[in-house]
Amino acid sequence: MPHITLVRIDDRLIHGQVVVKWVRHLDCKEILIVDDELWHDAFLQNVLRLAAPPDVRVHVTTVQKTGQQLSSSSNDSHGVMLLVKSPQTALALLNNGVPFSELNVGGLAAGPRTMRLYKSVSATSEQIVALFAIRDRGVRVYFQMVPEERRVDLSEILPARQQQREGLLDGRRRI
Amino acid sequence: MEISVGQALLIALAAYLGSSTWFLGVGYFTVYRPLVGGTIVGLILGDVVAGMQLGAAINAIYLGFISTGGSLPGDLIFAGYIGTALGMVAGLDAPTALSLVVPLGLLGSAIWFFRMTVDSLFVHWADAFARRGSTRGVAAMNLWPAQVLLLLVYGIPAFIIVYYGSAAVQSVMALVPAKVVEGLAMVGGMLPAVGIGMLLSYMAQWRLMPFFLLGFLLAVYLDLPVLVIALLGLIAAALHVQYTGALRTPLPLQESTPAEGPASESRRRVTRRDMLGAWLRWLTFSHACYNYERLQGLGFAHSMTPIIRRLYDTKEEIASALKRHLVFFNTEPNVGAVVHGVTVAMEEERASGAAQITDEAINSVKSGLMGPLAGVGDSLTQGLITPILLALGIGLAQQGNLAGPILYVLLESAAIIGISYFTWMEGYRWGKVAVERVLEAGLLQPLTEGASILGLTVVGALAATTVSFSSKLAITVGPQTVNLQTDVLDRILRGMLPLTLTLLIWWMLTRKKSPLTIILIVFAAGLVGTWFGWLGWG
Repeated sequence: MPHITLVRIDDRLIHGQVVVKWVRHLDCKEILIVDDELWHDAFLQNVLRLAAPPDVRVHVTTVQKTGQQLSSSSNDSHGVMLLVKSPQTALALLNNGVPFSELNVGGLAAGPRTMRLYKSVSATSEQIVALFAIRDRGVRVYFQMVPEERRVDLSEILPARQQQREGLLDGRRRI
Repeated sequence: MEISVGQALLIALAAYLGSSTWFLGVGYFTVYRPLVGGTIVGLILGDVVAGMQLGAAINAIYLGFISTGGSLPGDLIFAGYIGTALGMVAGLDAPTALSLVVPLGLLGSAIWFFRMTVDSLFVHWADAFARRGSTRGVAAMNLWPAQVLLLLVYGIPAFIIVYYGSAAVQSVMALVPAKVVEGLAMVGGMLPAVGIGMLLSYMAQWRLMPFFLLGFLLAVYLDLPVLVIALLGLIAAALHVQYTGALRTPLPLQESTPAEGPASESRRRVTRRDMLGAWLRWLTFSHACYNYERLQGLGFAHSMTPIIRRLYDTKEEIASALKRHLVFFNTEPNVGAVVHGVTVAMEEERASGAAQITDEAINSVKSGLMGPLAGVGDSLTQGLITPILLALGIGLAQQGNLAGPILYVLLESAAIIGISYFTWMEGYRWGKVAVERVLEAGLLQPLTEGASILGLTVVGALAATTVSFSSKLAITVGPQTVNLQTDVLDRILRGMLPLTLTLLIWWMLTRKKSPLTIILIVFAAGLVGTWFGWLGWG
C-alpha cells in the first residue's frame, strides 16, 4: 500500500489551494478522490483529471473500493493524497479499513443548517458528530486551508462547546 | 521628507482603492500590487520615480504571492502603499525600508481576516432582499456595506501609520545602533530572495532550471536590459516547446453542437446586452463582498441579476432564482467565468420550461466545476501570468523607467479581461462541454511549459538585480590581504552569493519550511552577519 501523504476534507476537491499549494508542498503525483456520487459522473471525473497539473494522476473511487484502489497505486516515495467531500466519507473510510492518523479539514461550504467553525469551514451537526467520531478513533483532526498556515486543532475550535457537542451527540442517539 | 495631512489622506484613500472593487476586476492584479502602489504613493508624495523604485523592491519580496480561497500570505496594500509611504517620509534607504515591510504585511493580513469574517454578515442582508425578489437590493448589498467597511479598516490605519508613523520610525531608527541599521539594510538586500524562492517553489522544476541560470547570467555578465532578457526567454520557450514535442496537435474534440438546441418559439433568450452586463458585473464585483461564509456567492448572485430580470417575470420566480445563486461559490474568477456562461445557458433552458433543469441540477454543475477551474485558473493567472509580467515590470522600474508599472498594468489587464471574456462566452455558447473544450484544447500544457521557461528566465535576471549582498570577509595571509568577495568569489562567478541564497531558500521551501520561518532566518543571518562584519550590502 502506498504512503498516504494527506487526507483532506474539501468539498471543492481539486482547486487552487490544492493545485497551487498542497500538490507542490507535498510533491504529490497522485490524487485519489473518494466520492460515491462522483464515481457515477463521467463528465466531472474527466474535468477533474483535466484540471489537475499534467504530472499528477487523478483517480476517482468509491468508499468500498478505496482499499483496492490504494493497493494498486504505485508505491513510490511521492505517496497519494486522499480527497473527500465530507467528514462522513472520511469516517466511512476509517470504518472500511483505510487507516490514517491525521485528517486535514480544508473547506466545507456554508449552507442551510450549518455552523461556521473556522475560516471557510462550516458544518452541519451530522458533520460535526462525524469529526468527533473520527477524533475519538485516535485521529488528529485539524483545520488548515494551505500549508503555510498554522494547523488549528479540532479541540481549539470546539473546546468550550463541549456542551453543544453533548447536545449533538444526543441528537445522534435520537436518530 | 514632511508629509501633509492632505497627502496622508490621499494615501489612505489610495490604499482603500487599491483593494477595492472598482477597477474592472483587474484591481487585484494591478493596483493591489506594490509595483503599482509604490508608484501611486510616489506620485502623491511628489517623487514618482523614487516611489516606483521602492514599490518595485517591495514587490520583489512578494513575487511568489498567491492568494487562494481567502488565504492571504501577507497583505500587499499594507506592504506596498504603507511600506512605500513610511520608507519615503522617514527617509529610509530602500533596503532598510524593506525590512519594515514584512511586519506591515502581516498586520494587513490580520485586517483582511477580520474583513472576510465581518463581510459574512452582509450576505444575510442580501438574503433578505432575495426573499423579496429585489435584484437591486442584492446588488446593493454586494457593493456598499463591504466597501464602506473596507474604506474604514484600510483607510484609518493607513492614515494613522503614514501620518504619525514616519516620525516614530525615525526616532526608533535614531535609537538603534548604527550596526543594527546597517544589518536591517542587509536583510532588505536579502529579502527579495524569499519572494523569488517562493515563486520557484511552484514554477520551477529541476529540468527547467537551466533557463533560470540563463536569465541570471545574461543579467550579471552581459548586463542586458530586462525586456531584452524577456524576449530571449520567449525565444527559448518557443524553441523548447517546438522541439520537445510539447506542442501536440490538439486532440480532436468530440463532435458537439453548441448548447443552443433547436430554436423554438417559446424559448426565452437573454440578449447580448444582458450577457455583457452580467459579465461586466462579475468581472468588476466578484470579490466586492468576499467573505468566509460563502466566498464569491453574493458576487455570483449579483452578476446574474440582468439574466434573472430578463428570464423571469414573477416576484416568486425572481426570488427563487436569486436564492439559488446566493449559495457558496468560489473559483478563480477569470478562467472560472466559464461556469457563469454555462449557468446562463441552463437558466435559459429552465425559464423556457425544461423540467430537468432543477435547482439541484444548476447547483451541482456550479459546485462541481468551480473547484477544478479554480485550480487551473490560479495556476495560470496568479501562478504564471502575474509573476512573469511583474518580474518584467519590476526589472524596468528598477532602471528608473516608468514604463515598468505602466506596461505591467496594460499587459496584465489585457490578459485578465481577455481570459474572462473568452471563457464566459464559451461557457454560454457550448454549455458544460465548454469546460472540456477549454481544458482539452491541447494548448494549456505547452502554454504552461512555455510560460514557465519565459518566467524562469526573467526571474533569473531578477534574482541577479534585486538580491544584493556581499561578503566583507578579508583574510590576511602574511603581507597579502585576500578579500573573499572581490578576490575569490567574484573570480568564480559574479553574484554567486545572491544566487546561492535564492536557491537555498527555494530548497528550504521544498523541504517544507514555512516562508515566515525563512524570513526570520534571513533577519537573523543579516543582523548577525553584519554585526560581525562578515556581510555587507551591495
